[in-house]
Amino acid sequence: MDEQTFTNAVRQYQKLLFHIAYAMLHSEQDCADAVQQALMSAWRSRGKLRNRQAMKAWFTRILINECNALLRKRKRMRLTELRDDLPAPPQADNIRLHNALEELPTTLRLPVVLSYLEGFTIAEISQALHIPEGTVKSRMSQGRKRLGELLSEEDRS
Amino acid sequence: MSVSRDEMLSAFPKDSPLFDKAVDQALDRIHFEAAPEREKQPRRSRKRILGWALAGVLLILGALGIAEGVRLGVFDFLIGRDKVLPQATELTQSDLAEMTVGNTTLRVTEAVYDGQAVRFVMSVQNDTVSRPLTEEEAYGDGAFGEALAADGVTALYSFDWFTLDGEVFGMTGGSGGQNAVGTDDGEALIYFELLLTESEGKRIAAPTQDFTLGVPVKAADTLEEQQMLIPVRYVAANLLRDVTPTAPATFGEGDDSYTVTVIEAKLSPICNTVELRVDVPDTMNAETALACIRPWYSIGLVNEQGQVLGDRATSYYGLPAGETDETRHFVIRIEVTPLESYPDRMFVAPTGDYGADGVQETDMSLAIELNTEGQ
Repeated sequence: MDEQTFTNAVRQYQKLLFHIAYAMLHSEQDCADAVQQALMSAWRSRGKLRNRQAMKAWFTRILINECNALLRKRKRMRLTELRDDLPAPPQADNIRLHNALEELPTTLRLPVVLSYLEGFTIAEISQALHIPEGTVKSRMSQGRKRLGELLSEEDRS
Repeated sequence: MSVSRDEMLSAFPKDSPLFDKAVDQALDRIHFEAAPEREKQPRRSRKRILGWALAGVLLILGALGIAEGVRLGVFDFLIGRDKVLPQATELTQSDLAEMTVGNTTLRVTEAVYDGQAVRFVMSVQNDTVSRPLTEEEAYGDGAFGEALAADGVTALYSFDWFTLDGEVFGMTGGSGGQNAVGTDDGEALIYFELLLTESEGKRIAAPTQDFTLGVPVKAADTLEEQQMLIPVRYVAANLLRDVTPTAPATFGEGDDSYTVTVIEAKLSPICNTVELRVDVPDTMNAETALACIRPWYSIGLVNEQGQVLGDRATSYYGLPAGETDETRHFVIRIEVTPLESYPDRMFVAPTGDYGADGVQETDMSLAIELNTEGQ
């Protein structure tokens, strides 16, 4: 894959990458760190991508790996090391849904976001998250149910 | 419950300038890294073709699985190295470490340390998956990945830190590898390349004696438990030549002068490296500053006549050079394939812009002589 093709694909999927990173990390700075690492990893391993049709799932998977790595790293950080000089994060319009999504476990949140927001098919989610299609279906079903419960809880409180 | 796409979209921030900037910076770095490829395309050498032929062989082996009994070593993964120098083979160490985690056996089958980078091949085999592995599986897909996950083996994914004689370091810039191929007997061979240069802004003193390298290979509560310890021999005392100049070079005059510091220039039978930093004064206007920095986006190891020596297998830029009005410094690191012999005088110099014709011209007026008289 040449640089131009790679750059065009990144631009095409830029919003998608932000949504995935944000769904996992909830922090603009962390999203920025993760996407930089992910894009460098993707570029350096582009020779491994056999099927260009699978590029969306490939980018998604690399970014998810980087987000997971960042989450592991963050867990090791002491609270005192957390930066407090960062700018205020950008706000979502629908805080109610935003908060409910944040409450969902990542394993349920990602399939829901990929499906509803990004229009991924079950097969694409399976490919991107590296889990069987049956698991995708059950996680989506659980995710929808749990999201509904969380929204109802928010409405009651 | 059902959520529309618009509703879902409203649960996310509309935009993130910080994220967009990060993407731009990553693409900038990729643009610089791709420079050697652009430059090589119009006049691909036989050497390079041989290199790519080796890459092709690796891909085919990866896709089909490597036949039982065929053992790939470090040099098989160093693409572009169609000839291994005899001095390089002297550095090769075999069967350095072995560890069992559940049904998984991890073995470091070969390593090479030249005093600036550790390159090693790790074999990962799980007793429950004994059939040939595809390349995808060797990267952790399918049943093999699930078997490793069941044992809590993270060798294929979690390599963002390491230890040197017990001291923990974050992953160093420019380190990479983790290229994997599958073998016919169900083994994933993973190649790692660890540059002992700088970690999280601090220079690392690369060991000049035998040392123990620790790498995270399994999930556990403590860093100690996560590690596989690899005893590495230091045998490079007379093989690594430090040709770093002793003083920075200054170019331009008066208010338009700027400095270029060769941070490190080392000749190694495995891989030559040059890293330099360009600093322009804060007082210089933005346009002039960028004009000073831009020639250094492409550098090479050259002889007295300006001829580029070796193939620049990879390039690494220590700092993102997203050009802004504030850009006042730039760091570049290149890796150059080793040669059997070197000229008495060598320089690092800008090797020209990448025009549509792909022609490059070394700018010897900006050449910095390397300290070939030194060690």
